[in-house]
Amino acid sequence: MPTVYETITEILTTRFAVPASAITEDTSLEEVLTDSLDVVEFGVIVGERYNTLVSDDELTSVTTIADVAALMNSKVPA
Amino acid sequence: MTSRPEVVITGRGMVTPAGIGVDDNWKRVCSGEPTAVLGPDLGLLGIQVICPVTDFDGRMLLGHGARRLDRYSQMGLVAAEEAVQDAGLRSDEWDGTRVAVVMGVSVGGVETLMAQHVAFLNRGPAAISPLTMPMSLVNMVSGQLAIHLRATGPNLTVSTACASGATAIGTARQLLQADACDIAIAGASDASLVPLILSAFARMGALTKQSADPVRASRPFDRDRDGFVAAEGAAVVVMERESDARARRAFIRSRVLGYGASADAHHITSPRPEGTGARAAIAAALGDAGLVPADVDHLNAHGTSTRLNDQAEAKAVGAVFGDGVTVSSTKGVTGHLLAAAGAAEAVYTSLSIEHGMIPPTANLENIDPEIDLDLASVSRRQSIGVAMSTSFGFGGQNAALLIGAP
Repeated sequence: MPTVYETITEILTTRFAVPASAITEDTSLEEVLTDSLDVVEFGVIVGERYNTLVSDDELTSVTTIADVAALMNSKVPA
Repeated sequence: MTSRPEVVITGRGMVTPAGIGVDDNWKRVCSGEPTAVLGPDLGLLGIQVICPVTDFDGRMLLGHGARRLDRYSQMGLVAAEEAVQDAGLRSDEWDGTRVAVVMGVSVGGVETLMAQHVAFLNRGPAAISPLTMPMSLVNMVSGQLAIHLRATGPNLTVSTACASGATAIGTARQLLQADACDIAIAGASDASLVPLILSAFARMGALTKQSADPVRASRPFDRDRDGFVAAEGAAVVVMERESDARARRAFIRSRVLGYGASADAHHITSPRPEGTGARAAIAAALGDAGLVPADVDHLNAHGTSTRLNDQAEAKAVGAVFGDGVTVSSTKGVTGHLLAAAGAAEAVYTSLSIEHGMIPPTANLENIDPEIDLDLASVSRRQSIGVAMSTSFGFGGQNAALLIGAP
């Protein structure tokens, strides 16, 4: 089973055409996504993948991909 | 009237069930081979016959950015790119402030709305994509065209239901004549073959029930017609003032000689039985062009294959032209492209003039005895100087375009 970080990377590369080489744990979402709409869209897709919902507050509390991975790890039981 | 500048078509682009690209479209409509297939099973309403654009892949044609566009906008963009290229223009070279966009749209990004409604019902409001509005708004194809083509002049979306495409081209011509722009990208787009919309049309009794034999279901002006076959697609033309087109030595495809519009003010869906609303639009287009009925050689009819439309239209056309024009409906092949129908048929009309060929009215086996027109049931070689395309929308909105040889 892929890790949350791997899943996030896969979503960014396949759904948002972000080059894999541009993605590290420290990469900020705003850096690699087109605009704020895509940041929210990314939250919808990640939530859908883990059968949960990412709220606006949760989304504004994260900056980097590592932050997103930590958020999803806390929301979804291992 | 003669002081107004002449307006010409210098580029054409199409995405329809008859093909992606103008050349494929022209071959298919001239072949008379219908594009209808079996669509979704709507339970008690039966299996619907539709004309889809089966091999359209927006991401393949437009790249990854297409994910932020509804199918209706994707089709509009692909058609517009072909039209601009056909016109020999480059959006990275033109003065975008002088480029207008006028697109005809009816329901807009309904595929997106439907998918998001399912997400809303199943997972709640927080599951809704933030792209829902920018993908589904009816004006978005025009906005996307502006972005993709660096067209920062007047940017409009017009909506007259199934007359939208003709209204868009007529409106764009007026913008050019008013010197509000130098180039107009005009057309229409529709991608609404989703179960909700098909069910809604079926409940009105507007759609054919001939699912046992899909290819024979769309049969404009035929005695046995029983409704239209819903289709999807887009068609776009590039229009310029003739003097500008000649100055840049553009290849002029056709002239847009006249445009007429009217409203039935009669009923929400049924046309006036004597076709007087349609007749008013036809007369207005003739008046706009300074022509008389005898000047017109061919008419690409709205001809939807519904009992009411074809009857009312035949009365209107007969009253104006008698049997002096060769009438054909390309909807026998393409089905009814809804908002995009008028734009697609304006392109077919332009092609008819260019090739001296009237495409057949597919499936016209027995002309309705109440219809007295010179209908082409097979393709007909004919020199055409001037031709008309008619379009009529629910709500009683009527439009007619007069197109002429260069």
